[in-house]
Amino acid sequence: MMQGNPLLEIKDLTVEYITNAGTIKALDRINLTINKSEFLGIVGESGSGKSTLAYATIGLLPPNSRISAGRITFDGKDLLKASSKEINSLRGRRISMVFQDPTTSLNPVFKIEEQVCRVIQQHKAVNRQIARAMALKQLANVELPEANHILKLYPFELSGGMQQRVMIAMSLSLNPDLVIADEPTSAVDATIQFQILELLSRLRHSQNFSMLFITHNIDIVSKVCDRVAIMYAGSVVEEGPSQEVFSNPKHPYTQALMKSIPRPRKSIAETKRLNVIEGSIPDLISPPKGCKFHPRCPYAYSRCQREEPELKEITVNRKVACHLY
Amino acid sequence: MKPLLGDRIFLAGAMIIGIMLFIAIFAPWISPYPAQGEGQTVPNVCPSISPAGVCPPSFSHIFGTEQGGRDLLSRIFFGIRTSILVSFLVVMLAMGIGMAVGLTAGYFGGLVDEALMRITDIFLAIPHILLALNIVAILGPGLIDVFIALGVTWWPAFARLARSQAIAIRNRPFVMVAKAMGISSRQIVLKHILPNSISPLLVQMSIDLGAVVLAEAGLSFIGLGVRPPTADLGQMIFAAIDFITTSWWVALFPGLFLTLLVLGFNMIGDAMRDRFDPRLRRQF
Amino acid sequence: MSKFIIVKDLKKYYPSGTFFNRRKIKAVDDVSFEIDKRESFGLVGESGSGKTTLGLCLMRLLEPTSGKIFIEDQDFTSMKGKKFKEFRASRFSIVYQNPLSSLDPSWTVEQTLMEPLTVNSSFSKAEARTIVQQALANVGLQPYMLTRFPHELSGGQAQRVAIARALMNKPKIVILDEPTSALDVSVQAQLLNLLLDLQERHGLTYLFISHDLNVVGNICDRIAVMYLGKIVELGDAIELFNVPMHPYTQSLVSTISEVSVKFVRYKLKGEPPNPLNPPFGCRFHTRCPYATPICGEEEPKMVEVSPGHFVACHNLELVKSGLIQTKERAALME
Repeated sequence: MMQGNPLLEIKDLTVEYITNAGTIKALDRINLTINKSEFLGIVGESGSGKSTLAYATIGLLPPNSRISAGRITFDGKDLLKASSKEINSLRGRRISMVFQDPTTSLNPVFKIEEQVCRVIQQHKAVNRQIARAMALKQLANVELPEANHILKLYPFELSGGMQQRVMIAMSLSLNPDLVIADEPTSAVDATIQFQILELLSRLRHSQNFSMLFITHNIDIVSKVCDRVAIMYAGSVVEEGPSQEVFSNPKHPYTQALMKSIPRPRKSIAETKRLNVIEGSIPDLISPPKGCKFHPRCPYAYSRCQREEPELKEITVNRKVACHLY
Repeated sequence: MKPLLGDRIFLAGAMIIGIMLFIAIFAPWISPYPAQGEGQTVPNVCPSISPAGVCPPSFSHIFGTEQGGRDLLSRIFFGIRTSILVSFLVVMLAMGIGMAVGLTAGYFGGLVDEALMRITDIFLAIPHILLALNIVAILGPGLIDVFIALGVTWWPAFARLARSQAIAIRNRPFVMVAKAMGISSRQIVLKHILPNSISPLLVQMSIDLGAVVLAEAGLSFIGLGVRPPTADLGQMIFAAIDFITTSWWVALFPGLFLTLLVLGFNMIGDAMRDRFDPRLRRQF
Repeated sequence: MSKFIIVKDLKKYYPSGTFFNRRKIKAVDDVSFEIDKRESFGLVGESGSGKTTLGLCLMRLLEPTSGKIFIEDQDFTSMKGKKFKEFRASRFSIVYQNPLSSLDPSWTVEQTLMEPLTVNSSFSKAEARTIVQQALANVGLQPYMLTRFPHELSGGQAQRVAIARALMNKPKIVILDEPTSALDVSVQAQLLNLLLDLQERHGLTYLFISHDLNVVGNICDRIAVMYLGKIVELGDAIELFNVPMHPYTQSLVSTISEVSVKFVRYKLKGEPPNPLNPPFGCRFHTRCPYATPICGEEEPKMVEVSPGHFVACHNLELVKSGLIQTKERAALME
C-alpha cells in the first residue's frame, strides 16, 4: 500500500449550494486523502456529492456555491486560499480533469491539433512545432492509431471512444500529478469502456499520476482503483481498498447497494427480482437528523436517529461511518 | 415567473409599459384637455408668439401646444393610445398567422412545409412601406391601412420561428408517444407542439411590440398612416419638423414618449429572452 | 399456434451519401426472430447496433424498409390507415430512456396520464380521474404528484409516470428502450422490480432494449445480441451468458465481473466500424480474434447450435473450444 506524503488532502470540506428553495448541503465535512500514484474511486448515486467534490478540488464550482468550511491541500498548498493566478497555473499542469461527455468537452469548431496544442502551449513556452510533436506523442500514448491523421480532424469526425482518448491525452499532456475523472466512461460503449480502463491502468504505471475516479458504476471502480470511498448524501460512509470493500462491505448502504445491482441469472430457479433499498435519497435542504441513511437502513436503532456517525477506522485502512461499529 | 419579477430590467420595463398602458386606457380621463387630445379645433392661445398656434410650455399647457393650438400633453396621451393599440393588434395578428403557418409547416414537413415556406418567403420580401403605399392608394390612409400593411408583413418572422420550434419538438419522444397512442395530428400540434414552442415566440412578441410602434410611427411620419386629427406620435413628430428650430417642445416631447414606449417593450423583451434562453433550458 | 410476435427479414435502410455516391446506412439488416406471449425479450448491443431502430420498427414508429411483422397471426406490416393506428394503439406502448423528454414538459402528470384515455373512449371526467389515480397508485406514486410537472419529479418518479402512461391503453406489448439507463442503481432496482410486477399482473410481453448486460441478463428470458444491424446471437438468457457462442457476445460478457467465464477474457481491438461502411462479409470480422479468410468474404448464416440457441459465425468450432492459443490470439489478449 502506498504510504508517504499524501498528494491531495481534503479536510472537513463542507460545500453548500444556495438555491431559491433553500440551502443544499452538498458536502458535509468530507475527509479524504489521495497518495502519490494512487487511484481513488468515489462511488455514489445522485445527490451523493461526488461531482461537487471533483469540482471543488479543481476549483470549478458554480457561482451559487459556497465553501463554508474545510481545507483542500494539494502537495502542501492550500487550494482554497490560493489566488486565481495560482489555481490557473495548477490547472492543466498539475491537476487536470477528464469530463464525462467528450462530445461537449471538446470544442466542435477547432481541430484536434489546435485543442491539444493549446493546452500544452498554455503552460509551456514552446512553439507550435514542438507542441505538435508533444501532442503526437500523447496521442500515441493513448493508443490512438494514425495520430498524425487524427490531429487534422474535428471532434465530430471521431467516435466517442476516440474522443475520450483525446481528452485523456490532453489531460495527461503536461504530466499532471492528479487527474480528476468525472464518469469518464459513462458516455461510451461497454467494449470501449473496457479498453479505456485498461489504458488508464497502463498509463498510470508509465506516467505515475494519481486519479480521483468518480463514478456510479461499482464494476468499473473495482477494476481500476486501489481504494474506494462510498458517498451518500454528502458524506463518505465507507472507505478502504476496493477489493475489500466490495467483497466485504461494512456499511449498510454499501451492502444494500451491492445487493441491488442486477446480475445475469445463473439458473432458471433464480428470481428476477432485485433487492431494493426502500425509500429514496434524503432531501439535502433539510436532511434527516442523525445518520442520513437511517430512514432507509434495516439496522437503524435509536442512536442513529440522534447522532451522526463519524467516519472512523475500524481495521487497518478500513473506515466506516456507522454506529454499528 | 418569480425570477422574472426579480429581474431589474424586467421590472423597469414593466413599470414603463404599465404606465403607458394606464395612459392609453385612461387617456380621456387623465388628459388635461381630452377634447383637444381627440382633435378638437381650438383657438390660438398665444397669437403673439406664434401665429401657427405653437405655444411654449406654460401653466395651462405643461408641454405647450402643437400646431393648431392643441395641448401637447393631451395629444401625446392619445397618441400613445394609437401606438399601443396598433402595435398590440398587429403583433397579435402576426403571431396568430405566423404560428398557424409555422407550426403546420414545421410539424408536417414535406410538401406542406415547402409550400408554406415559399409563401412566407414572398411575404418576407415585401417591404411594409411599399405595401402601405399601395394600400393607401386603394383604401385611403388611416388606421386600417397601417394595420393591414404592418400585419401582413410582420407575420413571416413569427412563422419562421414557430417552424423551427415545431421541427425541434416534433421528433421528441413525447410527441412520438402521442402519435403511437393514436392522437390526431391536430391535437398534437395544438396541445403538444404549441405550448412547448411558445417561449421564444413570446420573447419575439415583446420585442416586436416596440418595433411595430416604431414602424407605425414611421408610416405616419411619412404620411401613410393615421391622419389628423387622430393623435399619432409619428405624425406629431413629422408636423414638428417645420418648427424644430423655434419650438423645441413640439418635437421633443412626442419623441421622448415614443422612445420610452419602445424602450419599455425592449426591456421586457430582453429580460424575457435572457430568462428563456433555450441553451439554459428553462421553462415557463 | 404460432408465436405471438414474428419478425421476418426486417430491414431498415437510410439513404445517405451524395447524388453521385448513393449509399445506404443499413441500420437494421435482415433481422428475424420470434417472441412469445408474456416473454421478456432482450435486445442487446452497443451504439450503432441498430437495437433502438429495431424496437421502433417493431412498433412501426419508424417504417421498416422491408420485411414482415406478424402480431397474433396478423400481418402488422401491411396494415394501413385507421386499422393500423387502432391496432398499434391497442397492442403497443413504449417507454423511453429519458422521462424528461418522453413526458411533455408543459403538461402536469394528470394531463399526461389522461391523454391515452381520450382516444377512442368515452370516459366521463370523473371516471377518467379515478382511472388515473389508480394508475398512479399502481406504480407506487402518491396522488399529490398529479399536479406536478416532469421537471419537479425525480428521475425515478418521472419514469414511473412514463410507465403508468404506457399501461393506460392496456397494451399487450411494451417496448422498453433503455428504461433504467438514466437512473441511479438503487432507483433502477426499484423500477425493474416494478416492471416485473406489472408484467405478471397484466400478462405483458416486453421487448427490453439495453446496452447494460447485467440488467438484460437479469430480467430477460431470451436475448438477441446485435452488431451493426445484424443479430449475431439469439437464445435463452441464462444459456447465452453461461455459454456465449459468438465472439462478440463473449467479449461483451467478459466485461461483466461476476459471470463465470469458461473462456479467456479478452478485449476487442479497434473501434466499432462505421455503419456507413460496414466490413464486407461478417461485419464483426475486423475485430474478431477468430477471423479467418472466409469471414471477410461471406456473411455467416444463423445456425441453431442447440435448441433455441442461434449463432451467426463461420468458425463455430474454433469458438466453441474457446481456448485456441495461437500466437495471434495470445497477442490480442494483453
